[in-house]
Amino acid sequence: MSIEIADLKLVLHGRPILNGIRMSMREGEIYGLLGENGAGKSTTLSVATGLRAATSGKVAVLGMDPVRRRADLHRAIGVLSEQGGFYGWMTAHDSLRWFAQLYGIRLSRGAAADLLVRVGLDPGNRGPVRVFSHGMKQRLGLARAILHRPRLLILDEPTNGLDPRGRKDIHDLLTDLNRREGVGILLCTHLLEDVEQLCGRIGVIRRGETLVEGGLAELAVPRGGLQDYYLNLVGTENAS
Amino acid sequence: MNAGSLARWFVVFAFLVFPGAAFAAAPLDIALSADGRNPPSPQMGDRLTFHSVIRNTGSAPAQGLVAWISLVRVDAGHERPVDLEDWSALKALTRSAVAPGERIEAEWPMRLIQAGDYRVVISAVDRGAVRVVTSPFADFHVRRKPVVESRRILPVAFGMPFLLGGIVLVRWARKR
Amino acid sequence: MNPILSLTRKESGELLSSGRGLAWLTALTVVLSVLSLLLVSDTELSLLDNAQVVYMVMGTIAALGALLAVVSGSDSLAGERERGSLIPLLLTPLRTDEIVLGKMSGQVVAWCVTYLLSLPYLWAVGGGGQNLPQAILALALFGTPLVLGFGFFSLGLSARFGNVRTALSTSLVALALLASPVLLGPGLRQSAVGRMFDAVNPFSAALNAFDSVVIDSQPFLAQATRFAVVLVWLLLAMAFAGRSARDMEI
Repeated sequence: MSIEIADLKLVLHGRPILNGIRMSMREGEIYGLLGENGAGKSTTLSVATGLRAATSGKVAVLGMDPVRRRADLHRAIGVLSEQGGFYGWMTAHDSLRWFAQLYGIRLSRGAAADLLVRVGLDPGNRGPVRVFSHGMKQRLGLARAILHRPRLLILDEPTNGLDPRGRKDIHDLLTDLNRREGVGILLCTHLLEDVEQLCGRIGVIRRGETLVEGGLAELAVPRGGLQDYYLNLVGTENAS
Repeated sequence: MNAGSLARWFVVFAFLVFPGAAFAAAPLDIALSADGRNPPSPQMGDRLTFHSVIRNTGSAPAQGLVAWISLVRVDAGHERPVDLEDWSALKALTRSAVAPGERIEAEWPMRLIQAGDYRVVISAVDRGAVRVVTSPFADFHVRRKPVVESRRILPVAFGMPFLLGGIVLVRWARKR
Repeated sequence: MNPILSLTRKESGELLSSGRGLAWLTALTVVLSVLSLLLVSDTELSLLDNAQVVYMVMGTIAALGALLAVVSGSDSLAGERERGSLIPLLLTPLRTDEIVLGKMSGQVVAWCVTYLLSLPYLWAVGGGGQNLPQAILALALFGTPLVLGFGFFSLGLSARFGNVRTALSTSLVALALLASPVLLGPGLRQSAVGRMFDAVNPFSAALNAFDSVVIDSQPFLAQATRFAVVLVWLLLAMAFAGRSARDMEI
């Protein structure tokens, strides 16, 4: 299993945030984690990446406890967080090469340029990151997430704010990474189109709890497609 | 009425109005001398020490004695009292009582801050005194020593900000 | 390259390459230049004893260094958090204490730059007079733990509050409180409370050491107690920063 989460609960400042998250993501698959804004997707990711310790429950990512083996885990996974988090005064080149150093990797200028080309950025651009558009920052974030050749990618809203062309480029890149390099991808999004095109299995969470988990084909297709299924599911829950 | 008879009238008046004050005040005597180790021709930054001896020459104890050091600059065109803040940490001494015949010896160190002609004096009063008692003057001259030289400061003071400003401009120009 | 060194390089790069960092350094030289020009243009000040002038400049350098350390320390973790760059940093294989160490090293570089920039000024006002080498050594020995202590203390507050404004205002209050002996003057420092405060205050310890070494020509060995005070301050601030970063909430 790439990610195994069972009955995950998290209480912050006396307030329950996660109330029973479960998730089983297999090696090498693309898994879609769905949920509305504030459902607990990003918090779940923060626990899975070891940034927060769970109050109770079981969490294992690539067979590792994310808190106890945080450094090892971070060498094996690549994360695109919702906030880009780049230093505005660095160029894209410098930014990638600097982050590579934090992984103990010496990234040559050529290798950095290849990475930039791979995510659809102009390697000749010497402008500081602060002048990049949101889409360019997303692409750069993706380049940063894959620069150390991770086994598992955790992507928080990777196509958010991208134009149709940009979204297609990212879809192609993720498909390529998954098929040719066997990288598992956890896609955390509220864009159902991304999930339909990329994911084999999905999990839906709401108010810090997993509502349903399973194969996209078996859950959504018999119920008229993902959109109808998802809205029906969330709507039912809202009504109850 | 001449001055002599006026003075006599004043003494009689003082006796009638302030009988205790006029006669309970212990006569004090203050001697002041420069330390023998003081540099003969001191310059700014040197240290001088003065010694004072306050003696109660009367028959009654002097209660609540306060003695202090004063410094005045006396060279022409610069006459003024000097604020001792930077010159000396010891500016005054006090005693609750000085017995008849008792001597209070004190050392008054000072660091010479500014060039010029100076006059130092120790003054004292006790609780019953009607006038201040002062020591004789001790005069000294402080030679000027130029300590902050514009030859060194001006290039640094103007050069450093310009140097950094230049670096900022070059980097800015390169980025463009 | 060692990841901690990379982080140090980034931190120093921000100081030496970013507009904000260079503006700080330029402001530092402008303040020292104004002070130096006052020393030559003001007849009272220009006639001050040489050692007195060096002492004044040393105090100003230490205060400016502490101010820069407080500003950069307050921004170090809370600023990263506010700009969204903390999480990507925490998602690297670096441990939290390694990140803190990298940030601290950045502050060391910032102080070294400040110190180096101040040397020409010390030479300009103190060259040819007494105790200039001692002044340069005393500034390194006592100024370094003093300034870095303020930087690390602010770094700890930055981790604890997670908000630059709160961390900065709290750090500035602490700096003003500890630097108050300089503002209060000798009168209040002679009281029992003032003497007690002076005995444990790292700012007073550093300034008194500057005074003793430069003005009174005392040996460095006689300053052991004062050195211990600034060293304890540095170690306490370091422990506080490490502890606060470990407890930091994302």
